[in-house]
Amino acid sequence: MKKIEAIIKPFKLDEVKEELQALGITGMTVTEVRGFGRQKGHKEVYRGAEYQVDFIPKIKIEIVVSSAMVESVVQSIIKSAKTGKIGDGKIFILPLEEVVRIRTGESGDDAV
Amino acid sequence: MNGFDLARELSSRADRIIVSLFQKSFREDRGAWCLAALGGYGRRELCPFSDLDLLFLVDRRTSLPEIERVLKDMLYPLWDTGFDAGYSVRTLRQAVDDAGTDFFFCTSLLDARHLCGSEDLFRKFARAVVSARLLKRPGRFISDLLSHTRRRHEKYGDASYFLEPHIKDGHGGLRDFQSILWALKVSGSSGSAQAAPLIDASDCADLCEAAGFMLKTRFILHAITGRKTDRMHLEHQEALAESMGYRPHSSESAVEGFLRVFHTRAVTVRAIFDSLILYLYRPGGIRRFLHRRRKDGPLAVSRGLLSFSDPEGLKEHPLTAVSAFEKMACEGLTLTPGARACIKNIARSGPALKESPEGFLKLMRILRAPGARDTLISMLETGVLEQLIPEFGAIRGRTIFDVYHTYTVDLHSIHAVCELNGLIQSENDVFARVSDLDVLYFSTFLHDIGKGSGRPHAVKGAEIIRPIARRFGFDHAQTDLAAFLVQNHLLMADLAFSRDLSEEKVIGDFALKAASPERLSLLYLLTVADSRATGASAWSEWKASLLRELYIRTLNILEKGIFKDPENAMRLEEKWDRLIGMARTGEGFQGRLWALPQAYILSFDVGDIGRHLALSSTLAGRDDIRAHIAHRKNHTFITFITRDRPGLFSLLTGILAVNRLEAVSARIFTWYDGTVVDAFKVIAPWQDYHGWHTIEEQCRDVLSGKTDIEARIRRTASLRTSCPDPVSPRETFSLSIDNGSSDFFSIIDVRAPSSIGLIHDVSLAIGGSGLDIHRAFLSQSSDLVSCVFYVVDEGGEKLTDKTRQQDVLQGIEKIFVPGSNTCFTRE
Repeated sequence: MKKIEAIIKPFKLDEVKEELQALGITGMTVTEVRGFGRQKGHKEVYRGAEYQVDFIPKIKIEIVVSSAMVESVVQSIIKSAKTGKIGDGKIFILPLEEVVRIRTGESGDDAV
Repeated sequence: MNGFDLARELSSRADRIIVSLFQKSFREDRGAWCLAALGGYGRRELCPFSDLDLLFLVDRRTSLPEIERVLKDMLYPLWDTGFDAGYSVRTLRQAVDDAGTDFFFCTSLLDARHLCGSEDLFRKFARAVVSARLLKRPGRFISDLLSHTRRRHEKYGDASYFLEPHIKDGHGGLRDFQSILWALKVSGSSGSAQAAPLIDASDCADLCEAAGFMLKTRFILHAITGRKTDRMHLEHQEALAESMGYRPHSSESAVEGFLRVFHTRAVTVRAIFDSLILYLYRPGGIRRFLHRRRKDGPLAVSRGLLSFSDPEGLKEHPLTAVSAFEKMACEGLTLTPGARACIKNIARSGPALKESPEGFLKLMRILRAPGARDTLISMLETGVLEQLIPEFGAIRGRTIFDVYHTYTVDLHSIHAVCELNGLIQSENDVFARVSDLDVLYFSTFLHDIGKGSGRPHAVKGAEIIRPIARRFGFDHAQTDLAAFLVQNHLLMADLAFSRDLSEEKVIGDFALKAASPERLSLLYLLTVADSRATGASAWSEWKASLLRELYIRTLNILEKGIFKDPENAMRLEEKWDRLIGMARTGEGFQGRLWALPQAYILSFDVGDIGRHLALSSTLAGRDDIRAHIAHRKNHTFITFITRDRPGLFSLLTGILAVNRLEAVSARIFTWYDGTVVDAFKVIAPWQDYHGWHTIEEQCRDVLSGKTDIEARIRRTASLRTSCPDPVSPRETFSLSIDNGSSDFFSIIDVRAPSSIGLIHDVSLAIGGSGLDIHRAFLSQSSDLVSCVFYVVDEGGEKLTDKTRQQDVLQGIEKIFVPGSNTCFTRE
C-alpha cells in the first residue's frame, strides 16, 4: 500500500477527481493549502503598488492505494493536472504501514 | 399529539416508577422525607433521554445510613432501567441557601414539583425558596439570567437561523422559552405595577405553539438517534422531517419545509425573549423608566429602550414603525415588548408599504447603520420587512439543504449586508472605486431573493429585483446594475476557484463582462460579503487570495489594458455579434471563435478575421502555411497564417529580409488554439517587383527545413544593412523590459533606426534566449522603428528573474554596434 499526495492547481481539482474516479478510486482527502516551490511567489500590481504573493493557493489531494495501482494513479494525476506551465505541482508517493477501517476494524488492502 | 402531550405522557410514566420505588423504600414513617422533581422533569417536559433531576428534601435529624439506604433503594433501579437520574439531598435550609448562590439550582427550583413524601415539607420549601431568593431580589435574578443566557447563546449559536440548530440551548430554542416563563414568574411575583401584561395575547399563543413544536422535535430527535441529541445534525434531518409529518412539495423538500417552520417558530421565541429580557433588565426598575422617558416625536426613548408615545397613532402612520427601526439601527436601541407587539399586530393587518420611497430610503439607511443586524432581524420577525418588500416573504425561514450553508436564506441575506459594513475598512481601496453604495447594499441584501423558485436562483433573482428597484425609485441604469449584480453574484467565486487565472482569456472574457472598474468592484464586494456570510466552509484566507487575484488581474485589464478605452468594450461586443452571426450562416469556422484573443479581434476588421479563420482551416499540417497578399497604392499587405512554433517570427521576418521587403508595420498574434496570424505591411524593393507569388512556397520550404533561412541571410548580408549607421546619435536606441503593464506577458520594447533585417535579428535574439513571442507590434516613423514584443518563458510565465532579463537584453544589444546604444529596465 502507498499513500499518494499530490499538490495541484486549484482549478484542476475537478478534472483530477474525475480521472481518479474513472480509475476506480473511491475515496480521497482534499485540503486547501498554500505554499511555494519553483514557482516562488509572484508579484501583483495593484493601484500602482506591487504586493508580493508569497504563498500560492494550491490543493492537496491525499489518497491511499494498493501498490499495484500506484503507477496508473500517478499517470492519471499527471495527465489531468498538467497545464504545461510552471506551478503545476508535485506528486509524493509514501510507503504506508497499515490502514484500518474504523467502522469494521478491517485492515490492509481490504480497508483501502 | 403536540410536544407537551408527548412529554407529559413520558413524565407521568417516570412519576409512576419513581413513586412506587419511593413507597417500597418507606414502608413506615416518611414524615421527614420529601422527593421533588426539578427542572424539565418538574415541568413534565421529559424527552426520551432527558435527565431526571431529583431533589431529596430531608430533615436535619435524618441519619447518614438512612440516607444511603434510600438512595440505594431508589437510584440503583432507576439507573439500571436506563434513566439518567441526577439527584441531590438537601435540608430545607441548605436548599434555600444554595438557591441563593447557585443560579442554575435556583432556576431548577422554579420548576420544582412534588413527587412523593411529605407535602407539608414541600410547601414550606416552595415558600422559602421564592421568598428568600426571588421575591427579594428579582433584579439580580434577571441580570444573572441575562448574563448566563448570553454565554449560552455564544456557545450554542442561533436556533432561529442555524441550519443545524441546537433545539434546547440555541438562541430561540426551548431554554429561551423556559427563561421567558422564569422571567415572567419572577417579575410577576415582584409585585411591580404594570398596567399592561408583559406579553400580549397573540404572542402568548404563538409562544406556546412554538414551544410545543420544538419539544416535539426534540422528543422525536431523541427517539431517532437513541440518545440525548439536542442539536439537529444534517444527517438526522430527513428522518426527523418525515417523523414530524412533512412531505416534499414542488418548490421545497420535506426537510426544507420542516426547517422553515422550525426556524419561523424559533424566530418568534427569540424575538419575544430578547425584547422581554432586555426590558426587564433595568437596574432602575420600571417606575423609573416610566418617568425618565425622552420623547422624540411619536417615539420615546429611555435607557436604550424604544417605544411609541402614541401606540394608537401607529395605525394611521405605519411608516412610524419604519422610523422606529431606523432609530433603533442608528442608535443601537431595543424595542420594548409592548412596542414590538404593537408593530407586529399592525404589520399583520396593515397596508403594504411597497410603494413607499420614503420607507425605502429609511431601509437603505438601516442597511448601512451599525445596528443593522438586530434591527433587520426584528423587522423580519415583526413582518415590517415584508410590508416594504413583499418578495422577501419567499425566502423567509427558507433553508438550503446542503453541507455548505450555515444559515437560513433570510438571515444569510442580513449577514451579507453586515459583512459589507465590515469590508468598508478592510477593502477600502475597492470601496473607493464605488460611487453608488445604494445599489451595492440593495443588491447584496436581495442577492438570494430568487432562491426556492426551482430555477437557477441568480437568474430568477435578477428578474425579481427589477420591479423592486423601479418601485423604490432607482433609475434605469441603477436597475440594470442591480440586476447585473444579482444575476452574476456567483460568477466571480466560480471563476476564481475553477478557472486558470494565469490564462489571459479567462481574465479577458470576465473583464468584458464586468465592463468597468466600478462594476467589477461592486461584484467583488458582493461576492466577498456573500461568501463570508455563507459559513465557515465557504470562506477562508485561501479562497480570499484566489478571489483577490481574479479581482486585481481583471482590474488591471480594465484600467490599463485594452479596456482602458471604454469604447473598446463596445467595439468588441459589436464585432463579436457579427462574428457569431457569420459563424451561424456557415462560414466554416463554427466552434473556433473562442480561440480569438480580444486584442486580436480589436486589431482587425471582421472581414479580415473571417478570412484568417477560413485560411487557417485549410492548413494541412504543422509545416503548412498560408500567405495572403493584398496590394495597395504604395505598399503591400502580407498575412501569414500557420501554427505556432519556437522562433517562427524570426523565420518569417528572415524571409522578408532575404526578399528585401521592408516591413513598415506588423501585427503578430497567437490565438489560444496555437494558430498564428502575422500581418505585415511591406514596401517592395523596387517598382514592378514580381516575387510575391513565390513567398508562400519559400515559407513552406523554410518551415519544413528544406531551406536554411539563416544561411540564406548570411549569403545576402552584403545587400542589407543589418547594423545601424554607427554615427547615429545614442538617443535613437532604446531597449526595455516591462513587467508591470500586463499580468500575462513581459513586454520587450525596442526602438532603433530602421533597416532591413533588423526585426529579424531582434526576434532571433529573443527566440534564441528561449522566449516565446505571443504578440508583437511593429511600426515605423521616419527612420525609426519601434517594436513591442509580448513574450513568455518556457513555462508560459512572465520573465521575472533579473539575471535572465539581463541576458535577454544583452542578447539583443549585441545586434547593435557595441557602446552606441542605451539600455534600461523598468518594471
